[in-house]
Amino acid sequence: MPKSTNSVLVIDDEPQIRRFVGAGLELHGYTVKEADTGAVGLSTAAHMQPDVIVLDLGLPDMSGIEVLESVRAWSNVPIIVLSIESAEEQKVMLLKLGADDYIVKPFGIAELAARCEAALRRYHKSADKNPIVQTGALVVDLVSRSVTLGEERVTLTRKEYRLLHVLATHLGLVVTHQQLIKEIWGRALGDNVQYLRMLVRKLRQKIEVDPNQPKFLITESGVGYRLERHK
Amino acid sequence: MDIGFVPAATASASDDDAQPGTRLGQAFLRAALSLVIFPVTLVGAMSVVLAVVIRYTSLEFNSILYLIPVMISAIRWGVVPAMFAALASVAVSDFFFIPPLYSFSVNDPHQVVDLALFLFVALVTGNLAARLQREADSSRRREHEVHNLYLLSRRLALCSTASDLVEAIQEYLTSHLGRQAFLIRPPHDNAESDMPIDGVFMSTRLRAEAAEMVAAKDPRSRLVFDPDLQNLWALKSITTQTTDHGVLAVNLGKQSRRETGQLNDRIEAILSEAAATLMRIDAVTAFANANLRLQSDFLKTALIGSVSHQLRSPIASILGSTSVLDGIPALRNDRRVRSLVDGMHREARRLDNDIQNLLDTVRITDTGIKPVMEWTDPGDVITAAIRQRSHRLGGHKLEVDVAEGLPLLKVDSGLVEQAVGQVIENAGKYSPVDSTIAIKAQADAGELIVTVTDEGMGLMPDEAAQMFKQAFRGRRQLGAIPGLGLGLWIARIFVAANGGSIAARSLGPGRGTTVTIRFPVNAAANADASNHAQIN
Repeated sequence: MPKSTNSVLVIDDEPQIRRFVGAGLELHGYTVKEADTGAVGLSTAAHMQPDVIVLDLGLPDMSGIEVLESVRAWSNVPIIVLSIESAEEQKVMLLKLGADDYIVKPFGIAELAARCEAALRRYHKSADKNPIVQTGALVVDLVSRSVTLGEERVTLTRKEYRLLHVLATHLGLVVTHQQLIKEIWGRALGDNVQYLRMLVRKLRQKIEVDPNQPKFLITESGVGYRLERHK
Repeated sequence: MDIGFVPAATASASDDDAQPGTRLGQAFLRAALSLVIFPVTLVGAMSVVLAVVIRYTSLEFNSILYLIPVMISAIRWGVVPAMFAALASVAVSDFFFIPPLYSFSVNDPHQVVDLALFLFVALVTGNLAARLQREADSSRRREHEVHNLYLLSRRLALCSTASDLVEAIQEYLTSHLGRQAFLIRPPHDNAESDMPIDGVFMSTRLRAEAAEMVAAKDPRSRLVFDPDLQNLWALKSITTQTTDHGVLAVNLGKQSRRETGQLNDRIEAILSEAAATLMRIDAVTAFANANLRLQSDFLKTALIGSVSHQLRSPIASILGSTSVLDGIPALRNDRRVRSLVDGMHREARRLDNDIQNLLDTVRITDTGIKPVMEWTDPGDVITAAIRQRSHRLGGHKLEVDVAEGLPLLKVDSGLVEQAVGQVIENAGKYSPVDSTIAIKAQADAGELIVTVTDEGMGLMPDEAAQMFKQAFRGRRQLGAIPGLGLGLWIARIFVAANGGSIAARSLGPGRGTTVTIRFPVNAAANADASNHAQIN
């Protein structure tokens, strides 16, 4: 990571949420700036150039989506959206509009910090071009296309590797079904998620210790998959 | 019969027979009085006055004074009495005042001309006065009628229910037309045929006719003869597109056909007005109902919004804050602080869960659930359900057995996750800490079967049938274990919305419970999915 401390801009109209997010992220080593409206958030984002933005969708003056689109018009800064349960379509749309990830209320601070970190890593990774992705015992070498689990080398089919590759380049971040299908099959399969489901099942059998209780390849129901980051 | 009226099948309205003798005598007396006796008496009185005046003054007799009784008679009683008065005047003046006195002969031919002239003038003025009076009367009556109709329509405009309207019409007919009016309501027709309506006994004949009109939805009026009371009745069904309010029955009494016709026209007019009002009332009621529904929908939506925002936000911040506290090493290492933080976290999670259940309940009962079906791996659903509820299962051992190569399901993964999660949480809630909860998923005979088995308090025979109902709580748990009785009901609805079924069985109280969830499997689609993924 290029900087010793990263700055976070928290855009949320609820002071109590801002309070714990601010305190929590400071404990995780971030400097935190807060904004209580979309307008203030946008001007603060332009002035302070934060490293990450945490954006709540329910703002009083403008919708979170508008804020997201405005920021994306001039910046690729990582954006984590605070969403609510059972709004899968909205989550998918936000991701499509350029949000890096979302987190569902209620959430713990460790979870949010992990999302921020993952988003920051991915943002800087494109500059670093670090070809090795590691999560726990799983190591993916993006250049040599080799996958190892602990000491053992894992042999994957082309599509299985493609799936793992896309998830590894987004380590810790959710990737939508449509994005995965497009990356793996090269064309949109429409709503035919079943092929992806079967492929995930096969990949899990090769990289997970217990495929029924996956630790790496996590399902985000209705949205997509995430390769969980482990120390 | 008159326009707009249909004769009832057997209503031979012969109302002019069998009049009682006493009433005939009274009517004759009244006619004689106003036709002859009153005018003649007036003429007599005039003569007395004339006699007195002539005797004590130097005035001469002048027949013009007799125009006074003629005019009075014309105005009070009409043309015929005026003619009687004129004739009586000629006779009396000839007899008493024109020589030769006390004889009807006349000596002076001028006097004859005078008398003839007087008779002519008296007849003409009497006639004119009577006609004028008649017109004044009828215009006054019309004005009165118009005024009453105006009052009625104003009252109708204020009616907000059908019974208000019927009452207004009844009152109008009774007070202004002097006719009794009753509403024969549909339920009264046969069942209580001898019950009085407003204290009056209706004959079976009328009721049967009314019932038939309602049944036939006949909008026209009918005339019915009531053989018991020897009265003629006008019946009109008061009906709108939505409701049969009943049949309005107006007692026309014993009338000649002509009178009945006039009256019917007026009643018909009033009933048309009533029907229009009724339609308005129906429209207003429908509008009010729609408005009420809209308001309650609005309130519910507002409630959902406010519950999810006002209650869940503080809980989210409590949960978030506990997670921050939990991350501070100094606090983590203090046993007492840690147990406090853990307690806060657990309680807030439970509250959040309860609110989620309430929101789901509103969602089910209000908007209905609209599942978004998508190919889903049953293993993912079970993993997510366990993860979702892990905070409630701390003390339990979980045995998860998901068979390999399970078929995919086309379901709303969020809803199925919720349902399975509810069942798992319930298993934890009603079984002792440290006991085992076994979660199993297998495919069998074209079905995917998920079972959740606990070692808990089991079921009473009646509970297995009841436990998936809304707000059901077993008697044994009422005081002991907190809950709203919504979880399994929500689970059943969510499973059903995805084409599945849910059932519970138990070997008996204290011997654990197994809840089984089944979903149908589309074998062909699954075969296709496996093949496609093989192409590497």
